[in-house]
Amino acid sequence: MKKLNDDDIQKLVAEGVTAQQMESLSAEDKIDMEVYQLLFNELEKEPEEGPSFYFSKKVNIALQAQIKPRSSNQFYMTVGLIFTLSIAAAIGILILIDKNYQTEFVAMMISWKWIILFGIAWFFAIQYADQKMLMSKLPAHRR
Amino acid sequence: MFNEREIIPKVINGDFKAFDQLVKQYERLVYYIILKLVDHKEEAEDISQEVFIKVYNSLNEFNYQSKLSTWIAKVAYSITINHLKKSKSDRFTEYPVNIDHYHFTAENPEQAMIEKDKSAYINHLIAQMPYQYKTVLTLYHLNEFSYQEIQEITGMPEGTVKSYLFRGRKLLKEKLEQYLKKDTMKLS
Repeated sequence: MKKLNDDDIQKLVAEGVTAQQMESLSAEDKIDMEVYQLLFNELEKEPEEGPSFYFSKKVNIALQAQIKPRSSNQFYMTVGLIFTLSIAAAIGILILIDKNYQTEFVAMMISWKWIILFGIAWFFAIQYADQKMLMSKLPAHRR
Repeated sequence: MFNEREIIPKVINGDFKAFDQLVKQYERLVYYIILKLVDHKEEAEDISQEVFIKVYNSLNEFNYQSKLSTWIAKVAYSITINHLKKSKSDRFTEYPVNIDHYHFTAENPEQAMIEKDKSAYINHLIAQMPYQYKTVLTLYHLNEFSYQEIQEITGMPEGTVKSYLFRGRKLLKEKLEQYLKKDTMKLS
């Protein structure tokens, strides 16, 4: 005859049943005990497949892609500031040395304007392509 | 040997190698919690990635009041529940159904295939359960968290955790019993 309820049996299985306790159980309780034991074993089994082998690498790439835009913005602003300050300083020094340099410098800048503009555009294009490449490695919902 | 007291300050200071160690240490814990809730491998991996980025960004809020594993599991649980809510998934129901009157989907050819393998059959049953039951069963049995830790991770009172665990196991046991009887009849 069945003596134990499900709560008692679950507790016994969780705590580990001794051979002596097992002997004292009714046939019905023994069956219940075995089914619960089987269930507990199955619940404790790890799934067959875990995360992919390169999971930690993927997380690092995604994290760096998230951090990089912030540091990239700072980098662009710093480069822009240095570039502007350098030109201003160069003009200032040249004017101090000889006022004629001012017109020569401006003339040089005008004649080289396309090369200078192309250089700046090329620099930003490389940075943009780098960002695009990093973003393409992120899962769609994180882009 | 993973020492969280050494690793955490390094990660906070932006050490990516230390973060890589942290991810390797807890990737299975996080992935299994999420996988049991969403029941989709690729989705589980994407959400796991989101969890670790959140862990990296919020690690300075960890106050050593609990184990790091408990704190990370809490982040994983919260992000997954938000994900299920946002996707308006039928896997998410705010109010758990009365499990004593719960009915699994009727038998179909796919289920008949699954039933050939005991483990697959139990996983199939768990996948159909309300998320509160899946969560406590996974956290307690697979991840080996205590009742108090599950309370901290999910925000459910300890009594509720125990109740979900007991009722979930009882329901699964009843289905498993039927399965074993069918199996014995097939053999005889």
